[in-house]
Amino acid sequence: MRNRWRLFGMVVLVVLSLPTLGLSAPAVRPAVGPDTIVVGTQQEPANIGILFCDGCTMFVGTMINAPLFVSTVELTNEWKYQPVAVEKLPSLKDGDWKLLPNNKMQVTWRLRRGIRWQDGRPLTAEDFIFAWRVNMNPRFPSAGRDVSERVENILAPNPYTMVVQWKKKYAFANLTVNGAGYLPRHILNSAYQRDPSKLPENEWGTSERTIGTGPYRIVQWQKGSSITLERWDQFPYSAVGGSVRTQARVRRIVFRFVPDTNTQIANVLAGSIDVFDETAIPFVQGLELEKRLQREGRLNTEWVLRAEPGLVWEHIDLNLDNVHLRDKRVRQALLYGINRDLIVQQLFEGKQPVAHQVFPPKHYGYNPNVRKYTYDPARARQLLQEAGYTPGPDGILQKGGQRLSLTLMTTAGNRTREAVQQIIQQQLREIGIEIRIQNQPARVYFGETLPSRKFEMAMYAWVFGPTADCEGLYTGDTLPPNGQNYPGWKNDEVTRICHAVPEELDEGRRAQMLRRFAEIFVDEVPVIPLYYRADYVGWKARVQNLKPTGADSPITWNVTQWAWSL
Amino acid sequence: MGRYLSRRLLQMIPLVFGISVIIFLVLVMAPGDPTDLLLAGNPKVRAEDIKLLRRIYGLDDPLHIRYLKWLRAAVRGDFGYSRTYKVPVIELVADRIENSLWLTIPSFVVAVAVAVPIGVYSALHQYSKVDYAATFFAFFGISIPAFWFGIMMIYVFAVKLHWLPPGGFATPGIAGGWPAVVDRLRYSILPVTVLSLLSMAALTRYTRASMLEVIRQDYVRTARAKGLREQVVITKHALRNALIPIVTVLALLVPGLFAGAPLTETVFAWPGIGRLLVESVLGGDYAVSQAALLFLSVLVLVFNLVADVAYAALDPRIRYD
Repeated sequence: MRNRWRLFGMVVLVVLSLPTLGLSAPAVRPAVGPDTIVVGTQQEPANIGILFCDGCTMFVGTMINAPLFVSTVELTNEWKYQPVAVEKLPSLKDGDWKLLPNNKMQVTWRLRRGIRWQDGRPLTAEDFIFAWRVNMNPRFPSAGRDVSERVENILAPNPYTMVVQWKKKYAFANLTVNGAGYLPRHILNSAYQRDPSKLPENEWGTSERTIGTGPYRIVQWQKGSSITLERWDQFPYSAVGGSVRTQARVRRIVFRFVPDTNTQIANVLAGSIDVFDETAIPFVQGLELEKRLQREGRLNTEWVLRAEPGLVWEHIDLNLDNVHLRDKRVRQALLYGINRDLIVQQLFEGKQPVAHQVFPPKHYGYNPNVRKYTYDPARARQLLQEAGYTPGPDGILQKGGQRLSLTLMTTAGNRTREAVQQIIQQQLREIGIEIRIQNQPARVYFGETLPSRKFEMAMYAWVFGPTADCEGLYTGDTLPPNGQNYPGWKNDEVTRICHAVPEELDEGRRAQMLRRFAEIFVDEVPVIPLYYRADYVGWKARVQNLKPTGADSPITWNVTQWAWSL
Repeated sequence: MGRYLSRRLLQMIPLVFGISVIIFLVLVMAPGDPTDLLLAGNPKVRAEDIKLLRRIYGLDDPLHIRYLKWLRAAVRGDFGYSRTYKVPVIELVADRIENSLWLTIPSFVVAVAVAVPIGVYSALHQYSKVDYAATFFAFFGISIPAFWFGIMMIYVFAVKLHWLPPGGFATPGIAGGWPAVVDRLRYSILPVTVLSLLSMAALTRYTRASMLEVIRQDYVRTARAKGLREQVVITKHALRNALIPIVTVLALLVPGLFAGAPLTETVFAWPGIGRLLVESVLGGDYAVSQAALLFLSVLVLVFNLVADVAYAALDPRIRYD
């Protein structure tokens, strides 16, 4: 009998020790070959190359679009805008951006000649006008018409000139032609005439038959697995501007969709992907991966990892209709009572910085001088006392018989958010506020709870672009369903400022207005700012010229410059 | 037999119909709808566009109308259009089933080829070292979660040893033909191992139990008493009878392999039907979920029938009339 148990013990030992075998080999070589770069990402896009996007796969769509389509204007990693498909950015000084009476404007764009669709047809003004028409058609389900509908008309005196007439002033009319980009009219027009609502289902945009204008063309789309792009050798490098003037060096770019985070990490460690994007590995697991690579001496020698705090703002909306949260002093007390420094240190090692206002330091509307609510439980208690709260029998504050008890919601299953919730719950308990945690699946939370404002405190994030402003989010006339002012904040000065910002053409004055907005925001606390998210991007040390922008433009923005140094 | 078969097949029609009603109700009763995801995180989308999308997806109709519309199309073989993949559901599901077959067929073959002989050996050598080891591994296989085992396999064979790829199902750039098949096989080794080990475990136990019962029967003793060779006793008299209950398990193993694959397919980033089902439910792509669930249900029904027919073929005492 004893012999048998000894045998079992040995078997168990062998099985359990399998994973710890130290057989690691360096994963520095290209995953497939020196002519290919494999990019690991989490989700597969529903559509590419079309302004329509359904749901959350939008970001990965832009990443695959960048090599396939020449952009009109590109955002560099230094946050500079440069013309690509157009000759220059229009400006008031040069006179190709004109202010007209009645607040109207006229902007003239000149397309570069020689840019062609991959079937040989030239890219012309017609394609821009077509995309704008599509986006403005009420039967076309658009993901955003807010810019397009500011345009009154687009004229094309010749195939390479576009005169855009704007209904009213728009500050970024030199960064977008029409708020919709361009689409191949010669391919899509007949389907569009038949049924605009079915356009997103066209084989152009959903299959290998998607013809682009960029330095790469799509050669294989294995649904559920990968998209393979190959260098398009007829691409007119000398005809375009910006980063794509550089001759593409890598022959093939492969996007591989890996839905499971652990598998993605295994792919990194095994070296079977060469690059991973912002969506591939969530921050906390990215931090663990970075430490592990560091420990094994592989960081920067095999893999380079970057986590730039970007434009994703994590915050807690406060419902201002709530009987407690209506009082500004209660809202300020909440902010004093949460130790955000401790949260970012403990959970993120300080790599995701505390947010004190809406826009991050990189944004032009950032206000460096706003009040910062550093952790001060004594001040929080004092504010609550001033607001008329007294301790109840169970230690929770109360006023007029009502306990100061609030529900804090977020998306269920998000480990980071759940950890933040627990810290907040514990900290606010110390100043006499009870927090009840109630989480919901993302679909219910974003689809029903937030739009119907059935929450007391709601934690989530907004993703901003470099030109984002406060219109729609905090204007008093944009409570749902007219906008996404979920807290229900109505402040006349803020409403006025936020509507005026997109129409102010002077960047200095625009920044000043947003700084004033930040002051009021910080004093009123309709929302608790938590931290700015950073997402990990990684690449093998031998892949050159990867330059994440930290903004909403994808890592592939300069894909023609990517190369192996072997 | 023919009458029995046609009766069973006819009975399946109302059954499939009932299942489709239940699947439909469960899916639509889940809170939220597909357009919600458009709202999440996009401050610029407007209420009118959400309404338009709801109309395009037919979410505005009352429940029974939606079901009848779906049913009428489904009977003609049109299962609708995938909202997230932008292709007809039937194409998508067929494609994914084909991918899943790359895992399920080898898993089935490996599981049977390993589990049945081990089970038989275990039963014939009860309480031997091999029997204990087999029992241990069977419980190991039954108890460990597929996702954990999958990740460990990736860790050892892909990350540490660099023998096999850590997921995915093809190396980009390999064109069709023989190299593509070899490539696909390389990618399928790890997921097949995980899938087969999990079903192998249960199958070993069933075989062992069934065999143990049979070898104590009088007719086995009689066969031995007649002076037949041990090999003949075991293969002709014992194993044949022991296989009868195992056939049911085997028949139900097939839908089980399909339905049990979602975790394995997700861990190995394998675009099969199981992963499609999970993704479609999470993404609110109901047309796809409906078709995938219906496929799995029909699979269960069909293989139940297969099990019953196999019973009759194996056991002369059972006759269907």
